[in-house]
Amino acid sequence: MRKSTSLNRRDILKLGMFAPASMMLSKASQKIKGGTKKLNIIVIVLDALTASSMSLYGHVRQTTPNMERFASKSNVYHSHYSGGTFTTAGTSSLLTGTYPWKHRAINLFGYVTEKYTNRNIFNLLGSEYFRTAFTQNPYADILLSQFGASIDRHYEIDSFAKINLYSHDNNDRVLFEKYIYDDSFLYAENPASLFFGTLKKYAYEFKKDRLMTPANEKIIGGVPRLFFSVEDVFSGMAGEVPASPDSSFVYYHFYPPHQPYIISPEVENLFTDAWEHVNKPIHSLSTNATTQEETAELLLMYERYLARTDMAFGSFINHLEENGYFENSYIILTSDHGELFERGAIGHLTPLVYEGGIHIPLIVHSPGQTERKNFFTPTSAVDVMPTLLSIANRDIPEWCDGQLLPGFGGTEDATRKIFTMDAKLSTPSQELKIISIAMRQGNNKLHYFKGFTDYRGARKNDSYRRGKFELYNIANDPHEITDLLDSQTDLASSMKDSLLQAYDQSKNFNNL
Amino acid sequence: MAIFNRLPKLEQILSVYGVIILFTYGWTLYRFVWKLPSWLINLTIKEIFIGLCYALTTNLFESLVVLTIILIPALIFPNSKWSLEFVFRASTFVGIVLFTFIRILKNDALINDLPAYGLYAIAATALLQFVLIKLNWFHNLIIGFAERTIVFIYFLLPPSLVAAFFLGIRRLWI
Repeated sequence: MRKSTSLNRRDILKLGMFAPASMMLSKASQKIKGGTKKLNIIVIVLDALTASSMSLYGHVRQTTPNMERFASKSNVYHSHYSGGTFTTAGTSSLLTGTYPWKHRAINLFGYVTEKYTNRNIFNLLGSEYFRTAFTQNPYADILLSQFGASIDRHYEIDSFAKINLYSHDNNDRVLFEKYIYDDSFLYAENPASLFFGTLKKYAYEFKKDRLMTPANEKIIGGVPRLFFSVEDVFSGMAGEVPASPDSSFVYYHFYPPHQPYIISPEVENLFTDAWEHVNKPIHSLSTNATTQEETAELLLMYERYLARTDMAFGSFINHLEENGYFENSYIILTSDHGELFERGAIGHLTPLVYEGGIHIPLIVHSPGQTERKNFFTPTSAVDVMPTLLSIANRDIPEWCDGQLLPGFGGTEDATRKIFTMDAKLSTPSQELKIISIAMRQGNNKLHYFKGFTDYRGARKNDSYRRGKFELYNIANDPHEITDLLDSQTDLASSMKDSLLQAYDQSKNFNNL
Repeated sequence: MAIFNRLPKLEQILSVYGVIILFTYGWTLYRFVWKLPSWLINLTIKEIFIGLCYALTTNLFESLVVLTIILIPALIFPNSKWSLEFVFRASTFVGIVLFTFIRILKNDALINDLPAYGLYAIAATALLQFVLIKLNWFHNLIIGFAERTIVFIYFLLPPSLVAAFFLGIRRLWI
């Protein structure tokens, strides 16, 4: 016989007796739920963004007014350094919390060692977070593909782009092979596939010419293989942020202001001032040997492109603010490496480790923060991961090189040693024989070059092969003009020992 | 099948295919050797080997695509001059077009003019064939050269098939 499910008057009275208790329980359960609910973490990386060109960090040209607006409600780190000098090494340090001599993603198209495949922020945050990742940089996309098992949504590199010549099947585990194939056989300056490569190259030029007219945009520094509108990508990806559920970890790695600099009509007349950057002597390891005039012109283009990027970033931040993300999210703005415009070196494919190439921004907004806080002691990209793990109440693994950022449980330690290195000519699975390292400690910065023989200046000066140092005081000499190596011998000796000790530890690849 | 009867003889097709392979594989191997020193620094032997497999597989497919393009006129017009002097005409055409591609790839500025260069190549082929086919020694030179390129098929086709098979299997497993 079927049991009736209707309620009679007695049942309703019985239920009424439990109503106040059930309401209390409901509130308590909401409180518990609220207590365990994680706040969102949104990491925004702007590729090749040097602090030296940002008005936020004191540059005379107003290149970053929107980032300054964002910084007015955030912690600003004034002496923040990348782990590497280009995307692969820098991004790996950011995402793994380790220096390049550990993760070994040191070459173009490189990736972290197998051991570090699970040693990354996505995996360590765990599935409690909904983890989304996006990059427009193919080198960074290799890393995201490598970490793919821990990423819930991995956007294609050509999301909101107009033309893409890269492989973009980013869920493919053999992606790296495809990159080699693509880069060398389908599209390169001289594609190795005679028939397909030529046709693909022509198809790209054909499309590019129709998308870009001289009256519209000017491209400085080569033809992009991923062509996009800066504004489209920022606004498109901003629209993707609310799509994530609560407790989300968002990693957006935008390509601008990376070369090529795409100058729109809105910014093409900016910065027609008389400001001149400091003229520095050509370095023995410079790759381009550009003249002072060429350098100034390229720097101007970079800064105009940066101003354009800043506008798009402003719209992105407005979107986050309007949708309440400033109240329930940690928002981090940083870069993977800087950009050099000095000593005959342009860009970041250089072994030089001067400030422009490695001094990058770090701005961290905490939920509900309304005032700016400044921190001046040196910090590193490897500090970001442990800080985020701490925010998420996760343990910080002992293999991590970073420490908590000041303002998030860390202390301002002026004696701490911060490293940045470039070893793109070295073999990742062996001792790093061709390497340049910068070590910042307090206000002092030591540069070390070893194993270089092929550069023009290195052929004349054997010390770049045997090991050469430079020492600067960044507080007194921010442009790194006066080498203190011979005048500050005690300081130089002590710093050399520290740097060489760290370098020696990096030699034993298997123990890292 | 009747449709295959419209095609040139197998030896003739192989001669032309040999010329195609000479150009396509030759260019790729030249590029491969050019890249090899930097790859030896940055990549493992396994990765270089996989890169080579991709190269050979790509060459296999592109050479077959070029051959198909060459065979289409013969298929449509079996009794045309193209079919009757297939080895001479197709070999010179392939040689001129692919050599033009190499010239274009060596000079970035020419890439936008690819269609124009394509037309020049066709015109040059037509002119050459109209004039030079009458020179017996030149005719024999081209035919003899094309026949000798068949050796490259024996050298390069088996490793290409193995590479394609290897990549296919690898894709299934990974």
